[in-house]
Amino acid sequence: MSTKELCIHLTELHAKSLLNDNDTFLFDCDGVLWNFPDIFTGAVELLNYLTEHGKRLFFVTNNSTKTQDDYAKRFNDIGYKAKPEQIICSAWLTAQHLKSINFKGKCYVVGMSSMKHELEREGFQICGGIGPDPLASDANAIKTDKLELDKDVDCVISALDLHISYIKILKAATYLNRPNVLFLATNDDASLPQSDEIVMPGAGSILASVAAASCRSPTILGKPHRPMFDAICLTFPDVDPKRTVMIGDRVETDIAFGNRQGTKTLLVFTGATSEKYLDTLKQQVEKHTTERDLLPNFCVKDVGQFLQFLKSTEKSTS
Amino acid sequence: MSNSVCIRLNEIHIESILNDHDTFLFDCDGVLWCSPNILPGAIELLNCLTKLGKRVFFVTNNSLKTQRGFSQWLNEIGYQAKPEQIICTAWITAQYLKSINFKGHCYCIGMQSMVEELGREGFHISDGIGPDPVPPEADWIETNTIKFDDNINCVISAFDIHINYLKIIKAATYLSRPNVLFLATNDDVTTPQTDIAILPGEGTILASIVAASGRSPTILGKPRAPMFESIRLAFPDVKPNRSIMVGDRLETDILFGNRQGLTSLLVFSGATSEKKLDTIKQAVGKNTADKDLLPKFCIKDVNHLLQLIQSREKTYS
Repeated sequence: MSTKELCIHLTELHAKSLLNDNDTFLFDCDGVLWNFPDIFTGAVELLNYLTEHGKRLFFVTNNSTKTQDDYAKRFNDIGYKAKPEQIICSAWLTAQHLKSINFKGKCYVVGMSSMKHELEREGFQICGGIGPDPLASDANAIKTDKLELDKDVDCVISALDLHISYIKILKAATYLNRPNVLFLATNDDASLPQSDEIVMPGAGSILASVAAASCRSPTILGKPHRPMFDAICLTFPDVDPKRTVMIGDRVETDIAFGNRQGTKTLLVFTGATSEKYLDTLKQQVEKHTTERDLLPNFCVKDVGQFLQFLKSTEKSTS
Repeated sequence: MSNSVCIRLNEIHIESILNDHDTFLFDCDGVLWCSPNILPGAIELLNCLTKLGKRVFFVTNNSLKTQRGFSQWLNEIGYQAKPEQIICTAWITAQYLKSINFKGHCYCIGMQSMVEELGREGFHISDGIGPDPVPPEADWIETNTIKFDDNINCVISAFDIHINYLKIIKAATYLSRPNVLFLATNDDVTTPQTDIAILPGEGTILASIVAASGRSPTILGKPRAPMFESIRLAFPDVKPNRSIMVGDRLETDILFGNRQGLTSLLVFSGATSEKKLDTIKQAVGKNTADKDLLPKFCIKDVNHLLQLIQSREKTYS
């Protein structure tokens, strides 16, 4: 399979076309704009530059540990005036999804307080799963008669949870074993972007244990699946995927997401994907052992360089 | 015998079951007991087989068991077991490390049983056993506060009720380093169930580490070979075609028995109902399930097996 038109290293010319041919820019955050608390050079300037040029910006993140308001505040703190409706984060998205299916009932949520906040904002009831649910430190067995199980759980949601524990997995799986219990997951990223060598498990790691214990598969809401793009189009129906660019660092989520929705895709090498890994993938696609959707149209070192290209084109035409 | 499978064991088969098999391998949970109850006839059956000169082994994926603890417990409930009859996954992990001449330190997500069995063979578990708490108010983990051991060159995943995010960070980080071995005791997703709750098994814990690390482990427990290989190493006269595996779970016990060339006998007292067996049988017929999942024989429970043997004994006495 030919990959000639893919993985093109961005030049000034390409940057200029991206600017001219597109109205909407979707940004992943972790690994693209920052590895918090380090904000990447040129990131905020790029956002402001695009906004000044009349572009619509959205932030499309699988990170379930922050609310729309958390992100809006963070952007404002670092110098970009973001409105909450520009933030398409997975905690908020979960609440929108439940709203869209007219969900009635109680949720057991394996996740952080951000999930609780976004779900309760839309009036949904959470019956447990947020924060620690500890065993005694000297425990060596589970006393099943001491478990506090809720009788009426209608939905189990799996997100990133720093307080994941055996008891929580047990409860999630037990609820999922009951009839008519919905199973949702914010996303299934296996790990989080890290600047050091430490591997931080992602929501996908938590989900793997809940899915294994329950023998059930969830509806996954985050990238690369559709719901985030659908949520944007619901509020902004004039967003045209053919005039949209998705900028991300992870091929399995960001790039696949963009390609599948019909947007252009731009990969940066500041996060989950190295140039070497992209090369390997490219070869696999050519041998038909990996799907084409993982390959971006363009790639660039970082958002700072994208900004430099844009500013150069402006200089050269002024 | 023909190639037929799922044969309901009765009087006409018992003769060849006894004459053609010297060694009986038993899974435990769901076969000999359904915790906390020992199943009727279980102890009597073990004693009966031993009296008939049969060799008996207990082959369990449960990584909480030790050879010493389990044999002691069997003695307490009426069967004189020797530790070497207990083929449990904590012990097999130590045997595996011994067989590959492993040198180094282990990060083991597991419980005290792993410390005991690995310690017996001189292997050192540096970390991973027991609680490793995340502060209860934490909404982030400061990675520069985590202590890593540079001598760890093996990560082992076993059953752990103290599994948490920090342990998965450590396991996955060690596994990202070069030349770090990855072992798992087994991958059963649930432990034998109660009516109250689903009890996540070793496989659940393993799944989170596999996802975070992107690596696949060498899995030691049933249905894979190491447990039978370890029996043959210690008892070279044990022959697969003269051995019978008695179990309740198709994807571990029966698959294990069939793949090692043993006769497989399924009991319906545990994880597999007659209905479930029928479903799998149909799937095999449609080529959507592995035929090795089907047992040669099946029987209601060990008590019925005991009764068949005792009837035969009466006939011949």
